[in-house]
Amino acid sequence: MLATHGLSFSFPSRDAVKMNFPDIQCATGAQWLLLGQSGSGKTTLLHLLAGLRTPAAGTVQINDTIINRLSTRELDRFRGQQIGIVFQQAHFVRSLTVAQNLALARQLAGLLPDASAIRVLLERLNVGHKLHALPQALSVGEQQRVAIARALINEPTVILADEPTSALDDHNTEQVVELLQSQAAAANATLLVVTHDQRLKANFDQYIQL
Amino acid sequence: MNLLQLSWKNLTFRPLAMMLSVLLFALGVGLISILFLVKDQLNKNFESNLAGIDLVVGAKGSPLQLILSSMYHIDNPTGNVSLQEVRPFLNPKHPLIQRAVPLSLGDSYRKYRIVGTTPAILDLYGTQLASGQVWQQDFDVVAGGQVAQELGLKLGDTFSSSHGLLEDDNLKHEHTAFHIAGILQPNGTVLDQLLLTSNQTYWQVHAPAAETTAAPEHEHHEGETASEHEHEPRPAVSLLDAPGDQQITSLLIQFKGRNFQALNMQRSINENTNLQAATPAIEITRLYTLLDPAEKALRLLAILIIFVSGLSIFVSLYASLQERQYELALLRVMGARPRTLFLLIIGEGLLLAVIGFGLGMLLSHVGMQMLAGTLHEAYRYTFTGWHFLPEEGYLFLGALGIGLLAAILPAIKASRTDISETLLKD
Repeated sequence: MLATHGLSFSFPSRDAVKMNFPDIQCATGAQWLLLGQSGSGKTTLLHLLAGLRTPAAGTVQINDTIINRLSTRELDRFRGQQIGIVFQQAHFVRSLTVAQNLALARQLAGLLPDASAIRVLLERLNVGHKLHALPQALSVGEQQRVAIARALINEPTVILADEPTSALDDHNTEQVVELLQSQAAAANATLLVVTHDQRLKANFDQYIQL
Repeated sequence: MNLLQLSWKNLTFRPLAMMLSVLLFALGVGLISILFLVKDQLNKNFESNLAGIDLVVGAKGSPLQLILSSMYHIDNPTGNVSLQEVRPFLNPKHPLIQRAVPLSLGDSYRKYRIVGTTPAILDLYGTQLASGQVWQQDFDVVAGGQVAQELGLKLGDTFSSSHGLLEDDNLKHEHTAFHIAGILQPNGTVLDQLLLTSNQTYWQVHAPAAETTAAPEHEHHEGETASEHEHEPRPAVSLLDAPGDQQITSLLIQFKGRNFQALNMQRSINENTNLQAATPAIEITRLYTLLDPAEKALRLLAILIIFVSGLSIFVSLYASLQERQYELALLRVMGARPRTLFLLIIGEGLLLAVIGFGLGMLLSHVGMQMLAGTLHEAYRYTFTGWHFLPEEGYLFLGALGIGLLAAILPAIKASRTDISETLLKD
């Protein structure tokens, strides 16, 4: 479950600008689209939901936890374990292989290593053969699929995706969205995709317009 | 995978970026380490040859030269003195002198110096024969352990000496049939590299000595018949009874006790006789004082290089943060704490320092081993690169300190990565 209440934010550098966000209510396992034009503050909202930024007012609740009340340390741990994030451009620790990047995600979240889970997940996402490749050796589509694998590896309860398809062509977009939806459904995780890409509207039943 | 492994992966992912810093660091560390090594082995070589000698008496000249030639067998002797002048010191009943060892210097065999002396020198340096016996007759030779090994000398071997301390066929004393009577056990003193014989042997080689020893072109002219140079072995006469106009080069003196009279002896000799007396400890200290500024300058240079390399590590780490700020933000997103990022960068600094240190050690010890060959060639003293010093442990700690210092600002910056701002820059 993902919910916000009275969320607002102001940039420390531009304190005149205050952004107010509509309240969001996503049930556990629900899949939502958050649509907005560039500059509408949708990425800022995603960062607030992920606990990467501190709101000026209001709360973000994930399951039973109001994440704004956690200490920095608790929040880091909570984010690592409960929130999977897919970014617009897939970034990795460049010096590590695909498998090592995923293993690092588990380790940083304080979870035990699980090599077989990593292999199974990558195979499910059709990149099983890239286990020992370095990220920069992958195609853009493959990179985005590995990024999804990384967001899923810790079995989070919430998956946030920030413009996951903006760098992809139609074919890859279709694939990536399908993967996100099927994997989120399989894990019974709440999925929220933030985008300006109207193509995705067809795939989601519920959407919020910013 | 632990943090240190991640640091290592990050460094080895772009090895070229850090190579210059590491090489500079290695150069600085290597320079300091080799200074330690040279100084330590020089000290050891000097100290093992002090042999409790309180005073060296010889011809007037530079006291340092007298010490270097008579005790360390480098540099040339200051000249000769007549037996008559030094005879009082050789008297076993002398009230102040425990032991006086006369030395005759100036000849060599294949660059190894031949020293005319008395068997008392073996006690002075605390060494023993490995085989054979001490010289009983003229032209009997006891070879130092190292000489015997390097020249492959065995008991009963014979050789001819050269006049002077360099190998030169023009200066060969033909028909001087030296004969190996004994070989010493190596004991790390200068005796290892000497060929010992009697003082009287020198007189015979150089007879009709008096007029020819001084001349640099001491040659055996064609007119001379071989018989003049074929010396029949005969028992040595005690120096106390030998003719007073015979010459020796110097005397190594050990006092019975360091009382006021003994300490006054040096001044008394220098002021009242044609002889010169020098105290080894004072001259060696003087030698160190002469070398000191050079060592200080080199050390300063090394510290400067290390400082610059530390700066260079700092700059490379700092620049690399710029390049992988997204990566650092990503680590935070995945649950890494600011402290984790701090330690990651510190780890990189420390690893660089350790690699630099290791490379520097390799540089200095291999360098020292190569230098050892040259030094041995020049001075016959043994140096080695395969010796490690406790100072190098401190050097390691210092290296770690510099790695830490260079990494601390970049590490703080990394730990303060603002996740959201960084991700938005994309």
